[in-house]
Amino acid sequence: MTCQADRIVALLLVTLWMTSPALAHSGGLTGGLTGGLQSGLLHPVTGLDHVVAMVAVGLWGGILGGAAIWKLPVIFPMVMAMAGALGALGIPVPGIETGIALSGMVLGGMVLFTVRPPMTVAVVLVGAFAIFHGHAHGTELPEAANPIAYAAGFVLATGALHLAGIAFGMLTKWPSGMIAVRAVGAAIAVTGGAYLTGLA
Amino acid sequence: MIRLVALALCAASPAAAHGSLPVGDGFASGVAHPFLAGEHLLLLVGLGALLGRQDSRRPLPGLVAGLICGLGLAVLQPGPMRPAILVLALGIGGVLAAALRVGAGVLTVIALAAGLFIGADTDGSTTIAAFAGVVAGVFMIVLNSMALARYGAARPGGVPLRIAGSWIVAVAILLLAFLLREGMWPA
Repeated sequence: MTCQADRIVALLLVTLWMTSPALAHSGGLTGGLTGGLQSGLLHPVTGLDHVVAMVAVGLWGGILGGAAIWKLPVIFPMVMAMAGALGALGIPVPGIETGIALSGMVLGGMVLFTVRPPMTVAVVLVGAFAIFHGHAHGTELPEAANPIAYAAGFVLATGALHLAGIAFGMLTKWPSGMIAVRAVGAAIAVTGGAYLTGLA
Repeated sequence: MIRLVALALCAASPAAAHGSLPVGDGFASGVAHPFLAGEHLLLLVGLGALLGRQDSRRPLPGLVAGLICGLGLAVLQPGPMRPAILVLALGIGGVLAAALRVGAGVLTVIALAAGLFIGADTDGSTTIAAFAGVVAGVFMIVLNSMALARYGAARPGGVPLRIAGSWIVAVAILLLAFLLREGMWPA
C-alpha cells in the first residue's frame, strides 16, 4: 500500500511538473486554460496555513488507517467545494482565518498525539475545517481565471497535498516512522498556533 | 439517479442567454472539442470511470444515440448546456465517491443524457466531419477513462475511484458556483 501510495504521489508530482512548461504561453484559449490551471494549482500551496492543514488531513488519515485513509480525503474536497461556492457567491462565513489557523493546530495535534476518535467524529471535524479552507479559496479566486482550469487545478493541488500526507502517514507502520510523523504533526500544530496567535 | 438526470434536463432547457461552443469545420477540430471544453471533459471522464468501474460496455450505443440526438437539438439552438452537463457530472461523481452500484438501464440513461448534452452543446452549423470528430474525441476520453477505472476498481475498496469521484464533485460544484456568479445559470 505504501508503495502504491508513493507511486500515486510521484505520478501527481510528475503531472504537476509537466504542466509548468505550458504556463509560459499566454493569450487565447490555451493561455486561458493554462493560466487558470496555474492559478488553481498554485492557490492552495501559496499559503502555509492551508498547506500544513491539507497535509495534516492526509497524515491523520494515515494514522487512523482503514477507511479513514480514503474517507477524509474524499469528504474534504466535496465540503471544501461547497464552501468555496459560498465564498465565490459572496455569502459570508464568520471566523474564516481563525478557523484555518485552528485547523492546522487541531489536526496537527491529532497527529502529534495520535488521537483515534470514532470515524464519525473525524469526518465531522475534517469536514468542518474544510468549510473554512474552501470559503477562503472561493472568496479569493480571481475573476479572470478560466473557471474549469482553475477549479481543476485547485482541487488537484488540494488532493495532491492530501495524498502526500497519506503517503507520509504510511510511515507509521515502523516505530521510527511514527516518530517522524508525530514530529511533522507537532510542526503543523506549532504553525497553526503561530497563525492563530498572529506570530506568522 | 433518474431524478438527477431529470434535474439536469430541467437545468438545460431554459438556458438561452449564451451561445453554444464552436466546434470548427474539420475532423481534427471536432476531436479536440471535448478535450478543450472542460465541462465535457469532466463529464466524460466521470462517465468513463462509472462505466469502467462496473465493467459495462452496453451503455456505449446510448452515448452515440445521445450525441446524434444532441446534434439534432443543437440545430434548434437550445442554448448552453453547461449547467446540465455539470449537474450530471456532479451526480456521477457522487455515485463514484459513495461507491454506489447503478443498474445497467440507469447507466444507459446516463450515457444517453451525457451524449445529448454534449451533442447539444455544439453550434448548429457543425459539419458532418467535425461532428464525427466530436464522437471520436468523446470515445477517446470515455474508453481511456474506462480502462483506467477498471484498474482503479481493482484496488481494495476502489479507493482511487472514490477519490476521483470526490474531485469530480468538487470541480462541478465550483463551476456551478462560477456560472451562478456570472449570471449564466438558467432563470
